[in-house]
Amino acid sequence: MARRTRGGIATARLTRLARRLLAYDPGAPRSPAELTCAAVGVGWLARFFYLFATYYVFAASGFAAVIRRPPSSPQWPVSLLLDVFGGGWPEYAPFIAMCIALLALIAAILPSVFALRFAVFLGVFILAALRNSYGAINHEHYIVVYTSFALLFLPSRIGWSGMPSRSDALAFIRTLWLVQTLALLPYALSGHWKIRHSGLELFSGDAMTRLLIDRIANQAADIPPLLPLVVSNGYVAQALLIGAVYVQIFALFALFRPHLHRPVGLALILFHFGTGWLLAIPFEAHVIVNGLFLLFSPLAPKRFSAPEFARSLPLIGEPLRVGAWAWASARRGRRGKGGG
Amino acid sequence: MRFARHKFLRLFIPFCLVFYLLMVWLTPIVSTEQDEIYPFFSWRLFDEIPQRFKYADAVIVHSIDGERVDGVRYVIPSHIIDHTKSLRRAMSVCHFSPRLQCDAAVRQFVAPAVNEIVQSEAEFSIVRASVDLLDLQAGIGAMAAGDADLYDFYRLHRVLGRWSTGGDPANLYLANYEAVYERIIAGGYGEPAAREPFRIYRGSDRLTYFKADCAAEDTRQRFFLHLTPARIQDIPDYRRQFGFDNMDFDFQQFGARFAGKCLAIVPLPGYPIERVKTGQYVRGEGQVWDVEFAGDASAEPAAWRATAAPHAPHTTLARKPDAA
Repeated sequence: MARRTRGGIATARLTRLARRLLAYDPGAPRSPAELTCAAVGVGWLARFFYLFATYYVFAASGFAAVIRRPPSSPQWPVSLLLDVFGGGWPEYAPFIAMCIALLALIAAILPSVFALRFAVFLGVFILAALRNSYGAINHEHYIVVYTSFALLFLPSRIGWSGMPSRSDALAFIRTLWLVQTLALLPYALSGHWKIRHSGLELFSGDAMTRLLIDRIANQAADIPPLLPLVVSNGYVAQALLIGAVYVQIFALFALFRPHLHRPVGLALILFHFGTGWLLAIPFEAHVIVNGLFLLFSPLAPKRFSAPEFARSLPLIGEPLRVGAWAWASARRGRRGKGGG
Repeated sequence: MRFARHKFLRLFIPFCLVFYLLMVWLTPIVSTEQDEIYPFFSWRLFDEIPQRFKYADAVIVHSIDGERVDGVRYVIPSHIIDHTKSLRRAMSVCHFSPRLQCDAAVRQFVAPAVNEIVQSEAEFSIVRASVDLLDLQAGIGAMAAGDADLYDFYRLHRVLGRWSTGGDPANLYLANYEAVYERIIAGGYGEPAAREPFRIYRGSDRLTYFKADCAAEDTRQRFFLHLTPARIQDIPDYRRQFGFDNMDFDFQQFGARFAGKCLAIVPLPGYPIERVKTGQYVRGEGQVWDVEFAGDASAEPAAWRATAAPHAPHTTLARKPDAA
C-alpha cells in the first residue's frame, strides 16, 4: 500500500476544502461509461485544437515573412536563440513556421505522439516570443502557448476509435482541467486587477464610457463599428462592463461547476466579440480555445437546465440554494406534521 | 507507474496555478526593463478607469530627407498598435530616467517606427498633448464618419525632445549644447532673464538654464516651472483654476553637466507666455530658490505650435495598414 506523505495529505485536504467551497455538481457521480465518453471527447478537442494551431502558425508565417528584421526588444527565448545561433535565424522564421504548421497538422491526425505535441508546443512558444520581440506585446498568442503546453499531458493512447482505459480516461479529464484552468486564469486575474485598481469607480455611471474613449485617445484611427452607439448609451456600456467584470472575477468557478462550462464559454466568446467591436482587440485565439474547451466541454451536462445554471452562478446561486434547501426543509416538516 | 503519473497530474494543476501567480508577482522584482517574463503575464488590462483629462504622447515630423514639412504632421499614434506601444514604452523610460537612457529608448523603439512609416530619413519631436475625454466623446461620431481625426482633439502640452532617424538619433535639443555653451560664454546668447543661482535665457521656444560653477548638488533637486499663459484658454481646463501651467522637470530630463558647468534646454509649449516662475524645490519642504520674469508673449510660434489652439488644421502621415 502506498504511504501518503504529509504534503500529499495536506494537498488532498486542500483539494477537498476547495471542492466543498467552490464546487456545485448536483448530478449523480459520473459513471465509468460517461467518463470514458468525456475522455474520447477531450481527444477530439485536442485534434481540433491542433488543426487550429496549424492555421494559427500558418498565419504567423505570413508575419514572419513580412518582419524580416532583427528583433528590437527580444523576449528571453529569442535572446537565447540569438546567442546560440547568431542573429541570422529570424531570416528563416517563415520556413520554421511552415515546418511547425506541418507538424501541427500531423499532430491533429496523430495526437498520441508526444514528440509531435512537444514540437508544436516548442514551435508555438518560440514563434509567439518572436512576434512579441519588436517592441509591442500581443497577449493573444499566449493562450495558444498555454493550451499546447497543457495538451502535453494527454495520455499517449489516443486512437481514432476504441475506448481508453479508466486511468487514461482520468488523465484525459485532468488534462482538460489543466487547459480550462490556463484558459480561465487570465480572466480571473484581469477581473482581480480591475476590482483592485478601480474599486467602486467601476460602478460609476460613465466608467465604461471613459474606458472606451480612453482607448480611442490612446490609439485610434479606425473607430470600431459599435463604439459610437455604445458610447452614446452610457447605461448599455456600464451594463456590459459590470457583466464582463462578474464573468471575469468568477471565471475559475466554472472549473468546479459543470453547469457553467457552456454559459461561461459562450459569455467569454461574446466578451471577445465585444472587445473586437468596441476596442478593436479581437483575441481570435481566445474565441477558439474557449469555444473548444468550455462551450464544447465534454464535462458539461448534456441538457441545459436553467434552474441548475442559476444555482451554479457565484453570488447568485448560493442564496438560491439556501432558499431551496430551506423551502424543502419546511415542506418536509409540514409533511411530517401532516403524517402525524 | 500510471498511478504515479495521475498523482503527478493531480498535483500539477495547483502547482501550475501557484507557479504562474508567483512569476507574475516576481516580475516587477526580477525585471526592471520588461513588464513581464514571457510567457507569464499579469493580465492587467483596462484595470484603471481613466480620469476625464489625460495626456497622450505623439510624434511630430519636422522634416523628411532634409526638406521641411509644412503644418503639423503626426505619425504616432497611428493605426498600427506596435508603433503606439513602442512609443509608450520609450516614453515610460523618458519620463523617469536620465536623458541618455531616454535617447537610447527613442533610438530603440521610436526611431524604427518613424522610419517604417516615413520610409525616409526624418527629423521628429516627441510631444505630450492633453486630451479631454468629453471632447472626444462628443466628437466620436465625426471621427467615425471620417470628418475629424484624433489629433483634432489634442492640445500640445510639452515637447520632450527632438531626434533624427538618420545616424545617431541623439536628442537634437541637447546635441548642440556645446555650441550653446560657447555662445553663452562669448556673450552671444542674449541677455539672461535671471542671473542667480542659474542664468536663465528666454528663447522663443525654449528656456536655457546655465550655471558656470556647478556641483552635482545643484541639480539634485527638482525644478519647478510655472508658465502663466497670455490667454487662459490655452492651457488645459483643469489647470485654469491655478492660472498657470505646470512644467516641472528633473535636470536629467533636459540637462547635461560637463566640465563643472550645467546646461539645460527646456522646450516650451506652443502658446504665448505672459509670465514665467521657476526655481528648485524639495518635496514636502518647499522652495530652495525661485525667480519670476516676463515671458515672450509676442514670440513667433514655431512650426509645431500650430496645434496649441484646439482643432487647428493639420495634415497627418499616419497610414492605414495595407489591406493585404
